[in-house]
Amino acid sequence: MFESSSPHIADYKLTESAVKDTRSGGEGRPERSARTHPNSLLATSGESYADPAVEIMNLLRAEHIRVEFGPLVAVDDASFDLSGGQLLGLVGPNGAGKTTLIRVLAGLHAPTRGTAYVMDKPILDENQIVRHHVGFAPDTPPLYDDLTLQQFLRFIGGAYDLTRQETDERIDFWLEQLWLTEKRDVLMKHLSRGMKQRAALARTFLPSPHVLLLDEPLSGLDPAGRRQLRGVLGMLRDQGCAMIVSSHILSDLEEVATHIAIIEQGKIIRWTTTDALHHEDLERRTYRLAIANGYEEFGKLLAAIPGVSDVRAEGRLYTFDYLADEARVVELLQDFVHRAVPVVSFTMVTKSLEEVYLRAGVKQVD
Amino acid sequence: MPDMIKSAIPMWRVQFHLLGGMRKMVFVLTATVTIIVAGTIVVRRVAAGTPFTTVAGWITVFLAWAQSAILVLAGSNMIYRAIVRDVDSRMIESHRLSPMTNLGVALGYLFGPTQQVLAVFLTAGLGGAIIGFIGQIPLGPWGIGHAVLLTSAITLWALVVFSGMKSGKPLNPGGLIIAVSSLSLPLSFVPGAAILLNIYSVMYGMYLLMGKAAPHAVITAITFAVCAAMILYWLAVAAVKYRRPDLPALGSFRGLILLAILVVLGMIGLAAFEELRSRFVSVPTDDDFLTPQWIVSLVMAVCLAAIPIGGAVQCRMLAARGAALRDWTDRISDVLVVLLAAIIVLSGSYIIGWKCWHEVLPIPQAAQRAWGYTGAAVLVGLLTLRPVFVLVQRYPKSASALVGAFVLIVWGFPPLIDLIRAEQLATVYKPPTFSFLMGLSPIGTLIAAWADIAVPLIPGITFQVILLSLLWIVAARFRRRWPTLPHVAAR
Repeated sequence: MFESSSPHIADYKLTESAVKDTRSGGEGRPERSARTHPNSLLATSGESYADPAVEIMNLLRAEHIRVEFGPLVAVDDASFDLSGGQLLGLVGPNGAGKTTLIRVLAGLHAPTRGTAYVMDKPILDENQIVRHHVGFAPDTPPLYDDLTLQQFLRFIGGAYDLTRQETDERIDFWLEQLWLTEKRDVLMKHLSRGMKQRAALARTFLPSPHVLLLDEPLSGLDPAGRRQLRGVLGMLRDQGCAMIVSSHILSDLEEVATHIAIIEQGKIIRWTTTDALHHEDLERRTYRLAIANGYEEFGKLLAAIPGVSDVRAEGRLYTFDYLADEARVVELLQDFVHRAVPVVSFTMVTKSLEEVYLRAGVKQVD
Repeated sequence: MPDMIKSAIPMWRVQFHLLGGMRKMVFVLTATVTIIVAGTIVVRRVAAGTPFTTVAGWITVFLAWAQSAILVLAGSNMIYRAIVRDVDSRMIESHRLSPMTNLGVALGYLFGPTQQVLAVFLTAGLGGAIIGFIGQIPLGPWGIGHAVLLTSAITLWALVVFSGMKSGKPLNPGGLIIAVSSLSLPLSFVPGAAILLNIYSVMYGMYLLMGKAAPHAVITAITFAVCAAMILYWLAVAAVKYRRPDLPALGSFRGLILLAILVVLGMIGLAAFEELRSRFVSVPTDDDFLTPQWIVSLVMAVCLAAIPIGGAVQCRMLAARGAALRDWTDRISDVLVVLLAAIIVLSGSYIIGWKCWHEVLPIPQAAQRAWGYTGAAVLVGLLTLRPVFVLVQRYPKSASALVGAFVLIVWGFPPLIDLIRAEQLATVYKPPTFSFLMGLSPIGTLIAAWADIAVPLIPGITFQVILLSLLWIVAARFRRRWPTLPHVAAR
């Protein structure tokens, strides 16, 4: 089983009573600030997880989940824990099993074997409380086309036992957060694809679930919308939600995820924290060096240096891998200066999630 | 407020908006009142010299048909469309994610999409009552008829909700009505099924509205009781299927309940058939009609026992593969389900159907012998179904079809062949004589026992036991491979 181990995320345990308090607007309910998640579980101003009485731990747990469709194994023995404040980016090729895994975790698909737990309760159990805490946004948003956005969200509020006032407050908040305020009274069938995607996210966020499962939430959004959503995801993460986000837009994911899982043919082949991802393989790093005109033979010089490999030149810009510790990198730069190489810039390239993914040798599914 | 109702309210509300909201409701009701008033004025004008009592009679007959069509066709169709829309758009998954209770959602689908239909029904019912009152037509049957028709329609709607949850494609109401109407004569062989499917109650309601029948306290009470039981049953199984589409809807426990309901209703139907026939069914009176009815009812009960047995075996297989079952109702041992099904079929028929079997075989020795063979046939038959279900789990998608084929071939063919053979050999002077083939299957054994056919049944029953033992051994070996079988996920 993969252990989640983000160093900057404290483990908390969320008690049912505490959750109930926050939901029912009881005494335990924290004060709201103007721009935070309404009825937010934990937090409001500044410091997240401020309430020590509220512990978040294993909000989501997958235990040996296996899903088969006839001879096809869609998910193969997936096990992991996710605590509050952790955002797992689920990446993998099409047909790798991401959606199936997320649907199992949401309780929409019974696994062939294994169990998914939300707050230590099996998601498939007849437990209404558990369902208050799980939000799922599929890649194709299910909406009632003949309702206005407000009517639809009010229905969702009713389905989650919220009062009309609470529902309307949350609708105001989420429509503003997701840039839909002006579309409040528009029939859903008249919304564009991206707006429908945002409407589906508003539906998912409205009940303030503590576990969020988002399947390709960024795919239908324009660049500004993606940026906005990244901000929202970061806010929810910081407020203590446990999240799984599957996406093919790895740069976006990298920005908000605390953990990354690469899934291939139903199996989680790689599980790491985003921090570790950037600092792994410390000895072998990629560098980018730009030189001024007048040093035509620099490429050959570079390739001849022991430890240097994979030299790529684009005009006067050279990218290369160098297997060395920091002291030797300093020596290398001094050597260039000594040889009168006209160095304009010298930078270390941080390994991107995309690069890690591509280098993982994930098989594409036909 | 019970959670169930609390969960249903948002569903009703959203369906109200989806149906066009208040504006559409006002329009529909205005149109209904206009049509009734205008229709009455036109009929009054056309038949100027006719007393209003007669005119009111015509209008109420028309309204009776209209009301039935509105409830049965329009109501079912609205539910059908609502479920198909939610399944196709995957909104049903959005509901499933929410904390709305399973029964609340089922109730939401029952009364949500039918709000306008119910409003029109009540308005037209009120309009008919006013016209009837002015025309001095007794209002009792009109009111009771409406209540009977409404409960019957709700039962049908509940069945549509269940079928929608089960397959994602609800029963097509139009097709269902045509199928049920065309089956009314064959169903008279199993009057219990006709009661179960509400054929008699709809007819009773219609007759009351048209003034063709007077209210009958016992029939009205039975109608309401059966409808209430079936509404609860269909909603309960719909709720189960809504939450866990991967599990059999009529699995062991719920299948046993359905079997018990059918056996009880079957026997009540047989006992009260003369009463039902005189009121609702035009079948030729035949002194010996009871014997085929009795045999068909027994055979039907044995065949229906396949539902809980199949459900139990499927649950066992899913559990063996590591799936999480829902609760204790899915965890009952399949062998226990077989025994319980046999007890229900035998004791239900024996105790509730005592009047019928006494009439089928009034000679005590013959009846005693017939019960002996019936016990053996039912027990061996149901025990045989278990290993058959175990074996067909290799092909879960075709399991029902394969078991159906088994029943048809292994149980149906021997008596059929013997019947054809006996008919061919019979002459005017020589009555048909049957052979041991009759006893090779449980169905043949039941026919021979209750039709009092003098054939040796012991060799046939011995064959059935040998077949059962062989299937049991093969199934036991196959069952060990269950955990490694490819799993076919439900929708």
